[in-house]
Amino acid sequence: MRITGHHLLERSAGYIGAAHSDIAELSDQVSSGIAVRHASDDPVAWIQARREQVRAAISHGRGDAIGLGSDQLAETERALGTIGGVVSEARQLAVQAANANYLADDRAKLQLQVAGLFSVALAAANSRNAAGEYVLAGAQGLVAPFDPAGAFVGDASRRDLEAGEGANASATLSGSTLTTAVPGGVDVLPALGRLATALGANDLPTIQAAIDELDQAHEQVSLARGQVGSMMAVFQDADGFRVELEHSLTARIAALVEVDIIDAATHLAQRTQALEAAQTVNGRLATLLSPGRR
Amino acid sequence: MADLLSLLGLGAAGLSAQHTGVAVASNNAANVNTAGYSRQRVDLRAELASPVVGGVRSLAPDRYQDLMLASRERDAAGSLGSASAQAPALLDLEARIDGAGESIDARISALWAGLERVSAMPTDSLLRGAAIEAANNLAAGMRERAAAITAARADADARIRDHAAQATAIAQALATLNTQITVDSDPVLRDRRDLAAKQLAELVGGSGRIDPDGRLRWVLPDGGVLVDGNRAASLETSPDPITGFRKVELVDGRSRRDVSATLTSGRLAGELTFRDRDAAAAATDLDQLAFDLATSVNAVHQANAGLDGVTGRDLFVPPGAVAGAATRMAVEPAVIATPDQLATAAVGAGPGDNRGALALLALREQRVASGGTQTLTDSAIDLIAGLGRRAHDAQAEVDRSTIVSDHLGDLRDALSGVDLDEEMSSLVSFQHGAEAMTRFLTTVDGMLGDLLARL
Repeated sequence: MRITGHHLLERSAGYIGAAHSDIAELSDQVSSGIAVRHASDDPVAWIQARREQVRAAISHGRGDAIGLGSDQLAETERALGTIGGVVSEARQLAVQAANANYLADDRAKLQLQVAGLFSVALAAANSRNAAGEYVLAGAQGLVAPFDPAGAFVGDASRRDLEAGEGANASATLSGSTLTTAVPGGVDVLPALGRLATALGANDLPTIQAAIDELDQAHEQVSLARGQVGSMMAVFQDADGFRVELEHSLTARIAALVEVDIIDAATHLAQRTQALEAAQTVNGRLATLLSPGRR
Repeated sequence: MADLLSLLGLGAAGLSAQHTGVAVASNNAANVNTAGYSRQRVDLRAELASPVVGGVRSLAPDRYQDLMLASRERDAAGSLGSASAQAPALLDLEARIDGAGESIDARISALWAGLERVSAMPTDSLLRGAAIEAANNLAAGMRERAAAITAARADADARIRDHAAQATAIAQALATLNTQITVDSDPVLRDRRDLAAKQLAELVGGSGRIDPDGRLRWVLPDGGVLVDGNRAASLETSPDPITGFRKVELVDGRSRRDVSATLTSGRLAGELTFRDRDAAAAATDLDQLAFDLATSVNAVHQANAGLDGVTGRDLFVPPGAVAGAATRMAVEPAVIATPDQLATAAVGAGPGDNRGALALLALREQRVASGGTQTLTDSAIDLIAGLGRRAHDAQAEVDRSTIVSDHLGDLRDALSGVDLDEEMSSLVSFQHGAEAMTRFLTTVDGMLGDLLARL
């Protein structure tokens, strides 16, 4: 094939241009660490990476929800802890007041203490989360679930949250667990109220009966705390899995879109050498084809 | 005496032939960098020796050219032109849709994440506001993408108008060259015509053939004649009343025909394909996604209740039709003004119920997009991926066409390209020939002088 000098120079210039282009692309990849920025770079890798990014974003949102649910459960646990402590203390006072040697004045003093404990328990049962929602109100979160007499006026529903991909778990416990809605249960707060009333009335049989009732109430509160603890454990595990999933997704996304730095650096070195060789050839050709040498 | 005078004529003709050779070699060397120039050659013809002496005569210079190769070059230019127009337009659209700001799939994910947070604390007004803001951000993203696609199509439309005007100018130049070539055999005119034909092929595709009268005839793929002898039709653009974009028409006298759909190669075809197929498909897909998203979310939203227990409200303004759904996408102003209207609770449940939010979240995994074949995020990803694939394929076509075009260019250069070494050799050769002829003439002149002196 006949090759003209002009063609040789043009071809050489083409090689230099191609090497420049490759070096620019490889430099960009080495500096940024990213090989696939747009779908057109590598459609298959881009789609996979984007789907994993969506999963990661969803998982991140789920993590926030799990965090909020855990906070809600922690608030519930605090409230139940307070109520449990109050019930325990009230039982001790009931045992004390059941002593036949106690006089009416002594029991009247104990009544004041029990009334104070009732107020503490009522406040705990009507405690609210950071958003101002009553934690034991079921789905009626904007209304205090226990009235001033300690009667439950909320509903029994629980709120489920996504704990993982396709898995839900309860994130609330209704105040109905502190009522007779629980099989064999008692109305915990009214039991405290009845004890206070009996103390004020120096009603010994009722005071003695209140001891058993408070035993049951304490067991009921403990059971509720146990349920909350189980729920918190579920969310803790779910959050652990979520973090692992996000780490794994991050690694997968990186494998899909990030550049293999050693590979890219090697290619960059190769292309740089190719550019130098092309420049040398171009210089030699320019000299060889120079009219002055003819 | 007569023989000596014939020898003088032989010398003069030989000298003239060598001078022509020098001129052609010099002309070739001078045009070494001229685009489209084909090296020329001078054919020397030996004269018959009978009845007295022979000699040499130079024919008119001719060019090294292969008509079949030129035809293949024009075809390749058409393919390259089409891909070269389509690929950057697709890359640009991809960047406009996915490069600027948060992507659509990320915005959809942000809406799901916002609803997920609300599901954990449905009565929290800040979380509700954030979820509605995510929906608003998604709607704004849809509108921005729809505007970007429209802008890209409008840009292509402007380029189509420019390319049509350029093609008309080149067609007229071809007709003028056709006329000149019939009265002037200068090879340079044919080079110019070849170059113009290649440029025309790159712009509009089609095919050219040399008629028996030596004039080039240019025919578009649908059979419409753009150049016929010394007459050139024109390519004009006018707005299509249905699409609002320009259609390309072949105008010849009173005849006017829409050729937009029949152009298959060249830059015009590439731009038309981008505007009417690629970008139009992206616009349709985006509208479908906006429609599917708004209608599926609204259906769930209507079936659930806000904090006030009221049901039957939309989250997004109902899109109406699919066409233009992305451009019109917006969150219901009442929901923006009153975040309590976000339907996060089941009907009849209290405000702290989150089953409405969970029902909205369930849409995330449901195939409610693209005729029930994809999830909403997958549809958003596929929209960009489709563009990316087309851009990738178009770029590959550019690379392929460039290789073919370069190869044909190499073949053309091998035949028609000027090589300075060769021209220098020719120059020296013709120079020596001229010197020999000069010496020959001197010798004959001396002989004539001697003869005359003896008379």
